[in-house]
Amino acid sequence: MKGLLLKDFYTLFKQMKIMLLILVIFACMPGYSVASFAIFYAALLPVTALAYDERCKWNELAVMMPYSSRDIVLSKYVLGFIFVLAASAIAAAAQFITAALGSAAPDTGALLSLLLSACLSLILLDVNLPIMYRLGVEKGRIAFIILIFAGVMSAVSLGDRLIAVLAGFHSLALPTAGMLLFTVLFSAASAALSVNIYRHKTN
Amino acid sequence: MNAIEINGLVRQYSGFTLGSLDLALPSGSIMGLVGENGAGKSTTIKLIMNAVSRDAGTVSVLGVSNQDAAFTALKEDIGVVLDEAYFPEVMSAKNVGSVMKNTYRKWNGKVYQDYLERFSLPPDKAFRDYSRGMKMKLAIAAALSHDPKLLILDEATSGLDPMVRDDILNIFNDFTRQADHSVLLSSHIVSDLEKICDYIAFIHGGRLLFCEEKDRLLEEYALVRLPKERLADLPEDSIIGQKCSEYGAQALVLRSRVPEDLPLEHTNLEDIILFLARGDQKA
Repeated sequence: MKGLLLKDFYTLFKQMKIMLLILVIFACMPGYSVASFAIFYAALLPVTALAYDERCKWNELAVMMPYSSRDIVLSKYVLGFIFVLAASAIAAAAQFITAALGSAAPDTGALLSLLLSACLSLILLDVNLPIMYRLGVEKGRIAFIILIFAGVMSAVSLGDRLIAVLAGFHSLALPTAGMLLFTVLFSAASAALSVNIYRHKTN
Repeated sequence: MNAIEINGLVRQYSGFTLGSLDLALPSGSIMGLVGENGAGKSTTIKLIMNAVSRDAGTVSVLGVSNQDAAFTALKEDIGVVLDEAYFPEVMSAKNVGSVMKNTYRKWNGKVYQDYLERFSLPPDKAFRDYSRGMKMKLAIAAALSHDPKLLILDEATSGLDPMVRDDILNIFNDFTRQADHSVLLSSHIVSDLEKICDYIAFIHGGRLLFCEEKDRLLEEYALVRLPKERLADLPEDSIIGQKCSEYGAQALVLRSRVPEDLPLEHTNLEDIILFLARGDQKA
């Protein structure tokens, strides 16, 4: 799988140098809202890599190499995890540095928000990839936008109830741990679904 | 041992069926896969590599069924060049080398570097700026640099100039000097196949018309030129195909079935394939 990841890194770094630089700058911004945007953007990079693969028909060659369908699909999840972790780590480091410069303790709320953003962006990736493997990147993007719009509208309508539920917790540790566990399980389920879709599609 | 063994292979698409296909490529030899566009050559190669599913039949490559879990690892020993190179356009030959180094355990950077120099491929130039010939040469260099035992080449020499094609055909020829090295080469350029192949498999309309030793084919068939009205004098079962014009007739015949005193001309692979493909024009 290392070869597949390396191929994606070469492609993304060569095609998107400026965007990646902007992503790093955003991740370093104080507070968490702009940094969260950088983390969400990082989760979309595997889809960009998938679009480049489609354009050059890379998968036709990859299936001739010692890679299984599982390797080919999972490499995109691993790529997403690496980018989200990197963006989150940069953002967290920036929070610590800003706090240290101001001789203050890092804002726990901001750090938890970054962790929540990382989990949500990975869930976003988990929703995104099976759609892309099923419909292809071009049609998949439209389906994804519709799905996200529906998701946001539902979240807005449930917003007050959600806040009430969260307010019921005395500490954020439990919901944060729950969120992490949910992200891991959701990613595993999404990856299994994507592998299945990919196998059926290539056959 | 056979490098590739195909038995009763069938793949159905709407409006096209490939097979049933039975074919064997003996180790240490080169087989040419020939046929017109859409005959099923690329599908056959995809089926051999288990890149598409089959409806019936079995395929074993280097002694392993291509549906075994072990087949993915066995691909280490198979070098494949498709009709296009399919590398990401921003990558350079150097990047391709790094990706392949992390893909194949037996990747040999020195061999790859030697091929880049031999083919005059600039290592830092982006793949999108290569000509078609350069792209194919890069794909061939990559396929040859991980010590494969079997090369599978789908129209790998198309788009190359005759000098380079000749050089590459020599490389393929040298490759099979080792007894356990074999090549399956699909091409439209029949003269290339005639130059290096030991066996020829001809696919027409999804069916395998023959899979024979090249020398035997050339010995078995001959050309006859004669006036149109004398065609009827030839034994009917001797004629494989025929072409008539206002100047006379030309027929591909089986040497063993025609009278000994009939003046015969040597034929070549291209004629055999053309006559067989147009066999329906007989009569």
